[in-house]
Amino acid sequence: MKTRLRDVRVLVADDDALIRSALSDLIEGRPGLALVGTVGDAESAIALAISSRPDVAVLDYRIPGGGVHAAREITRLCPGTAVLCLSAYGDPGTASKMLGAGAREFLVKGVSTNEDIVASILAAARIAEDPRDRSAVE
Amino acid sequence: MIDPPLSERPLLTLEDVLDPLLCAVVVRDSSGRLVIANKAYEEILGFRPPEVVLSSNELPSLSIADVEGKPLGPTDWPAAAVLTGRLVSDLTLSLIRPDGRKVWLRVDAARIEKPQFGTLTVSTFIDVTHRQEAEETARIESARATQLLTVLQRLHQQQAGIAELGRLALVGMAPPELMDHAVALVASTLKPDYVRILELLPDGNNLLLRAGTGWRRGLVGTAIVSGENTQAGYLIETNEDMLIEDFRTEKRFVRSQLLREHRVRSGIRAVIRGKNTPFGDLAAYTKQIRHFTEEDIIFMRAVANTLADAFIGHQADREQEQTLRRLEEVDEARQRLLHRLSNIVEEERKRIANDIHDSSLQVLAGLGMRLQLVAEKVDDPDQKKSLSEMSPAIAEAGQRLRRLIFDLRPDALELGLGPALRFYFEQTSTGVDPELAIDSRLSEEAPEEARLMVYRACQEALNNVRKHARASRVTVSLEEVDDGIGVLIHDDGVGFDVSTGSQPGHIGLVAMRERIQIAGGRFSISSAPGQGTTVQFWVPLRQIE
Repeated sequence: MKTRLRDVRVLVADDDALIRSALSDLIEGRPGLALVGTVGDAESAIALAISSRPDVAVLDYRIPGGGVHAAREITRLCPGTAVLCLSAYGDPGTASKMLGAGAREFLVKGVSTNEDIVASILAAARIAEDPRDRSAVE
Repeated sequence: MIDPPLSERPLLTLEDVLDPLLCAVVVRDSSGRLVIANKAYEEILGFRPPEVVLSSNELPSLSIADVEGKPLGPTDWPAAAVLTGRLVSDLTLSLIRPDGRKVWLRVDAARIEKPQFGTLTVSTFIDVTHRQEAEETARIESARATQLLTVLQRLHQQQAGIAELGRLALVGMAPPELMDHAVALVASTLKPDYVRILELLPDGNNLLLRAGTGWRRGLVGTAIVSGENTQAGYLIETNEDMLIEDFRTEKRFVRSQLLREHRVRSGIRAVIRGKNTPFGDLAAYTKQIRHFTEEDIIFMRAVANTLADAFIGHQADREQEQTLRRLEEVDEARQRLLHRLSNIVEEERKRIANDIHDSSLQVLAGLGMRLQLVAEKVDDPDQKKSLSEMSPAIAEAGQRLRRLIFDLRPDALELGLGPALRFYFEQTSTGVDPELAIDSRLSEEAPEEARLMVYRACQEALNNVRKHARASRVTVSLEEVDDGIGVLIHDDGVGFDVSTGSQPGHIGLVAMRERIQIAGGRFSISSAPGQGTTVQFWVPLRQIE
């Protein structure tokens, strides 16, 4: 495992305030993770990703403007940003759409623990930093 | 003994020569005075020859006529005629003898010029009564035959006309055209001045001139005939066909305004029957007195009956059509309602699923994450333990909600029917489920509505298998059949007796069958105790709206 010189910068997009605050508390409370911002819709997520170039963008599937749209645009416009999907609902249809739009991983809220989420963020950041190391998650 | 020469014998008189003849012979001088008449004269003409006669005026009062029955003038008498230089030969005359007997005579006459006698006339009369009467009889019989032929021809024409009317009725000609046709048939067959069809109006008292010919322009289709005291009313009341020789002497009823206005004298009418009350009547009228025959009334009756049958048939057809259409409308409304209902149910399910997702599930997830964060910060081991025990409970609650959402809103259908069914079966697992095999041979996914219907029906069937079949294996086969999806679900469970109609999960199956049939599909179920159960259905890709 490589040692990082700087914190992994994370963007959070979720339209639910409760989730947003829980996620920001989780990220800010972890050494090595830094929150670049939380937004509630797809367009804001894309704009923030372009302006702040985070390492990881954690996107909800059901946000205004569409999680799929946000994932596709961020993947296209910010090659250095890894997209993670954190959805409240985990059916195979939703998962395949998000993965098809460029998400590295599909996590289900309430199924994945906080530790799972942190681990996935860190793993995604490593891949974003060094695409050759994809084996870390696949 | 030798006879002496003729010249030496006593003279042969004219009487000796003329009397044996069977034809009457009379000779007169130029003044008409009788010279001689033979015996046959009186026998044939029935009177003694008058002493003087120059013209028929001087004869006893006899009616003399030629073959055409034209009386003979004074100068046409044969003796007078030959004196004026006319030729009288083979002339046929009729004569009423003084005894009243009519005889036919063939008359020849000639002029004799002799210096010693002056001008004489000789006339002969041969009785040809017998021959003439035979000819007369032949003429009468021939005329009668011609008349009979005419009647036969008319009867044939009537029969053909009625047959044609019947054919038109049979091929479904509409009543207005049929009435026009009947009017034309009566007009051309009986050749009256007027033909009319009256229809009894719903008020039961007045009649409408529905069709006709000969009437003043603008009356057909608009004129109303009152049933009161008129023939029309009488007819409707008594329901009998009739001949009216002369309306002026008719006592049973008065002429309607319509008939008065058109100066109708004679008529013939037949009732057009109806189902309960008469439809109306068919009539023909003349301005001059006419004696309609029994044949004519039979003809009118036949035309009226043909119309009646057609109208009754037409009405029955229309009533049947209306009933059928009403049934169809009711059925269509019912289908639309059920279709709408099933759409509403689907919409409502989706709405509830979205609500659960957007509020309950999110809150629960946020709560779980928050709880984990709190647990990290708590130092007291007991508190930390009890807090961390809450997390799996919250996760389980979330899992249940997700199952519920999936049940309500099958998002996985986007992946296709097969994967969605498998996902559903796994998500709703009871832990003791039969093995599920899905054999999908669908080359491409069906439109959403058809897909959802197949999915819901399979869901119902799989739930039944789970709850009642006690099967170890269930197979779902999906394939494209005739622009639709054919589905076969077979389990190797306990089965049931289909004939009792009380199969397990009955209500659900009835609803399923109903939904599929509304969409224009087919549904069948077969089972027997110990034989497992097979549910088979087909849903069209494009559903009936």
